[in-house]
Amino acid sequence: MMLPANLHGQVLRDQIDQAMGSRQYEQARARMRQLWDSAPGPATAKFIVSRARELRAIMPSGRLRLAILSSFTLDPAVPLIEAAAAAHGIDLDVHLGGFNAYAQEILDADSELYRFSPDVVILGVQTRDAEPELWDSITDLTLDQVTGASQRLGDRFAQLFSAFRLNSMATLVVHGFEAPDFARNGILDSQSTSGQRELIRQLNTELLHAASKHPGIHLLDYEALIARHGKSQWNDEGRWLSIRMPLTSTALNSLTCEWLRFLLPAAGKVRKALIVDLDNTLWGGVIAEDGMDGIRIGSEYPGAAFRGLQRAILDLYRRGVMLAICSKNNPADAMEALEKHPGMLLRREHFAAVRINWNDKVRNLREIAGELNIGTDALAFLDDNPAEREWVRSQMPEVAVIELPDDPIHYTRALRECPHFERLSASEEDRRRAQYYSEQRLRNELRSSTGSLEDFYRSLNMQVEISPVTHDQVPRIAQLTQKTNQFNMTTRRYTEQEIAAMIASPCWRVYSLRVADRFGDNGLVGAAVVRVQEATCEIDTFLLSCRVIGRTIETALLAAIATQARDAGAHKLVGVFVPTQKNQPAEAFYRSHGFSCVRQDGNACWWEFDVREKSINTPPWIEIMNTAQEIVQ
Amino acid sequence: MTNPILVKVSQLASEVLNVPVQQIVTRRAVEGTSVLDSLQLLNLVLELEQSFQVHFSPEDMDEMTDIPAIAQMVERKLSAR
Repeated sequence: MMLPANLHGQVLRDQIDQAMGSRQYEQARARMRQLWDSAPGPATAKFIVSRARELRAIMPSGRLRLAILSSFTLDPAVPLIEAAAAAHGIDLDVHLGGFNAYAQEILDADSELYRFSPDVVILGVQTRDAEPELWDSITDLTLDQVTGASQRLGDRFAQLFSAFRLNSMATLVVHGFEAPDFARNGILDSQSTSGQRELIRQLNTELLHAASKHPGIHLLDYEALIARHGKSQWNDEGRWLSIRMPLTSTALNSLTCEWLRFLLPAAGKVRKALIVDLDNTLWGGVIAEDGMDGIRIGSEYPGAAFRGLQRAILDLYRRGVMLAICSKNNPADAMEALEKHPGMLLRREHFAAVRINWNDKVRNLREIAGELNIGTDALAFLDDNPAEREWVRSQMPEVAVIELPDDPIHYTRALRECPHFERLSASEEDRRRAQYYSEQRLRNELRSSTGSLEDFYRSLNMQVEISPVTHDQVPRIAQLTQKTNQFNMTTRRYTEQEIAAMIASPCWRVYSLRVADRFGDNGLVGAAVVRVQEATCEIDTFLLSCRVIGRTIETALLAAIATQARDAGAHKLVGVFVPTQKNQPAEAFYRSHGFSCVRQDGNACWWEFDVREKSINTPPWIEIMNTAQEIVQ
Repeated sequence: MTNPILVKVSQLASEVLNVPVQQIVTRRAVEGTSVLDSLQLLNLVLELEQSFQVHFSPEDMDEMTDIPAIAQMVERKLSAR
């Protein structure tokens, strides 16, 4: 039964306080997410922020420094974004720039902005503030004057981007330009290729070109965001004219939700897998009762609503999100529908793991995470049944449970709205990930059919390519540092800008590792960052994607690093292991490769290896296609 | 305090402004000014607009001198619907 919104809000607040009182902090965080999604606004924000401050002292989560620069009043957005971020496990420190002082802050290398040293900067400039002539008095201008004004605007932003990148490594999120609700020339505007709306479209294209010249500058499609909600719902003219705050209260909520889509991937909070239910979620009806002819899925309503949801899920799969099924069902019935129903868009091969049984869904979700080799906090769960959602939320608060409305017509929107699957850049690996996992199933089958582990390694015919990171690999390397949790010695997260700076510096060596085997190309799945200090090479970062753990590939990478260190005249190779809740698989790595522990500080341990006396050998079953050494020389 | 609108407004104001409910209602403004600074007032207005589905004009905001006055304004807007 649905409770009225205010009562529901109070119940959730009580649950948050109870969870905090009984030290179930992850549970408190999950209820905060639920509360924020159900009633975003200033009062809820105050509540969440106050509880999140307590949480921050007890169980610190990912910290992120966010600067907001804008040409208009945005002060009320600060508590909103703090609350939204806190509910998603990000402790935010916010700097709000001075009113319409964005250009000074960006251009002055000594400004408050840079002193704040942000991780992410949001730049929101309204078209009417950036170039008032193009907004209000465009009908006074000749075509040449319009061209001149738009040229000036484009150049100014290109300069701002360059200045920003010179002074900061932060991720920059830039609002695109919006068009006025009524074009100043009426319906004539759309009859001409030099009309106001067309001009603003071109300005946004120029903004995109200027942004793409630098790593880590991303566009927020402001016009599309407003369109999603409607311009008349978005703008508050009275408030704009009186206090320079152009947004309605609901628009402010929507804007902070949109910002969150950028903050989550910037903070490395990305869900890697979506677990879906079948009956009344992927299709309408119950397959065991309604049969193949009775379930509703296809191009006609009501099946079209479910097909829309399948399309949205398939889009996530194309983006690199792994899919899995968790359904209480008779396996034979469900598989028949998956494989044969003509209305289905999703098929068996799209799912990396399948649990169709009568077991508890919590148990199934844990098994799926294990099978996919990812943490349960990388899962999102989609199920039409509120009881199942509540059960998963209560038992696995780290899972992102997607709230579905009662009417299946709105399922698609609910999924597309949810921010958990956003990425700041799409690598080839993302697009191919799902395929890797189906190849992985074949590898596992081979493993169980071969005798010794060595035989298994040999049978894989592994080919490894280790090389210095090139410019086009920077997004993928940054992404690996952001997302890899298990085989990661130090779990240091780097942005694209930081990786780009390292590859340009002689003091750092950044390696990439690609792996192929008889089942296919695994792609770029490993990285290492080494800091060179005279006779010492310190391994700052050493990581391997979970899909290639346990195949001795890590030894090949370490061998290449040690060889290059020795050949460059180093005496010592130093490795650090910083334990986290998840990197236990990497704990014994340095010890098992002949390093000695020389220092322990807190939980972190420093390991040393004398490269003049000892060497590390690449396993004989791995064929090295080229090495860092060859490329460097 | 039995007027349900005043109770609700006071409760929301108490949350948004982080001030106990009892203090919030008894606070009085010097004539022509508000007990709230402009950002506090804006935050409260945004909350009330969402909670009561009403809208406040710039003139309304000028008249928001204390919590009972704000509650009366919300009541007028709700009864005019």
